[in-house]
Amino acid sequence: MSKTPKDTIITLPNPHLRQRSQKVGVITQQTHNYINQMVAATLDWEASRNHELGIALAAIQIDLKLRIIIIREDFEDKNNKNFTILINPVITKYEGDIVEDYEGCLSIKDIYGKVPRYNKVRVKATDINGEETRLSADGFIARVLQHEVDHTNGKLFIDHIKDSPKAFYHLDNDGQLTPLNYEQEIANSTILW
Amino acid sequence: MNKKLPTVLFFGNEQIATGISSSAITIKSLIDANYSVQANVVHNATNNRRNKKITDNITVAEQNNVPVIVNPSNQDLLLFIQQNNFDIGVLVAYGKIIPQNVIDMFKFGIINIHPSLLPLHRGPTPIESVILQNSKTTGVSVMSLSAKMDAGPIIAQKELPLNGSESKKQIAESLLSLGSQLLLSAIPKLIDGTLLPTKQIERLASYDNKISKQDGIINPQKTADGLEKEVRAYLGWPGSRLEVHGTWLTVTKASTSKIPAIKGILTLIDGQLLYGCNGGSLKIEQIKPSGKKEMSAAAFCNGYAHLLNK
Ligand SMILES: [Zn+2]
Repeated sequence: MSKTPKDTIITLPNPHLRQRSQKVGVITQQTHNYINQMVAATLDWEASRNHELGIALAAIQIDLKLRIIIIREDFEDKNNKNFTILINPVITKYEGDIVEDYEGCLSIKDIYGKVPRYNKVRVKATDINGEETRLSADGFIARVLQHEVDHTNGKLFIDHIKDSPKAFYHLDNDGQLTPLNYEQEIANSTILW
Repeated sequence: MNKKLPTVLFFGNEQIATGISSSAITIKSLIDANYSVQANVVHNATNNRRNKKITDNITVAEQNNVPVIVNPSNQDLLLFIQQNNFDIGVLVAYGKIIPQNVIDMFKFGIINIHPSLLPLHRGPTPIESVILQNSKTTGVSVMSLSAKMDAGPIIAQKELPLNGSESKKQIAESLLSLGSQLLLSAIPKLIDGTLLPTKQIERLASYDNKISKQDGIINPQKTADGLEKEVRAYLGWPGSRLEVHGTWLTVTKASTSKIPAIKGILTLIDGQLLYGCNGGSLKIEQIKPSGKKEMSAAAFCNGYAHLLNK
């Protein structure tokens, strides 16, 4: 089979996923090319999945050690293929309650986690034109921002729940989540840790 | 980051008015919107007792590899849901009450499309009722199902203005397609908690009577205006019927006429097929003799001249 954009996505146990990415200095044509590759990889991945939406990606996931994240403009509509681009994103404030919800990662195949996250965050970043941008988000998008900024720091969602036996789920072929056996499938996994 | 699409259990056949087949708008749009529809639970696999045709919903389900479950017991239903873990239920014309313990199994409840502006027209015949009552407007409600019939909190509503000439099928299709749109835009907001259903105001509630087969018999003591509405409201089932010399005829399209005709008698006057009633006559445009195909008034006058009063 020939390589398609989704094949550039790296998955565990690739150690690069646990490394910190570097700041982007100047935005060049090369930066634009990288972003286009990230978008293409996400959409190509989504097209290969029956029950999932690809809603965000960090550059490290296509093995580019850069602090760039892309976030889908609409989390519900597969047909809306626009992404917001944030360069050098930093979370400046965590607010609100800590809530648990399911999240998955394109770099961790078929595993979902019930991850506690702040319900509200403020983020500072550089936009695609090199301008500083600040945004404040709540609800699911706040979760997505925390997940992606974690990637730029070499952190994965499973790291937040590694001691929670009941937080791990498997996505079945029919689109349903079933609890994973923590002792057998998670705790001593050589792929995840 | 990726997100799992919500899993859905679909209840019903989308037949939101009696005797009218539906085109499975809701289940289709859920599948098209990438929801993971896991099964279609139906009370009946066919449109009605007479017509053994498989409903469009079952056809759509089968085309999309969605398993169909026909009339499960409450116990079996509960077991099935326990084993599967659905995010949300969607119910459109199931024809059976769902007990509260089943509703409670869904993380986000069961969402229901009801073809009226609730709390008005609770019950099984809202579309028939707005035709009979000559309402200038009706609408569709999307609500969170409760065990009490049509009394659940409202998620979204949309009005549909009426001009008084729509058929039951037209109203049903318009309301269903409006309802599906509302439903699809509401589900994500329900899941992320940004939309909270509003309670219905109980003291404003109205209930429609069930329609019986007997209601379809054309009563010449009624006005032509009233009978014309019955023709539209009863189309499909029970049908507006009259008996002439032992032959049952179902009127499928009619209008009102000022031409006086003898009450309770079918007559051909000036090339018009008229049935005399209170204050005028019902001008019959389409008619279906029992066991035969629907035909125009002209075709009927040719083939059934012996039934006409000359
Ligand atoms: Zn991720």
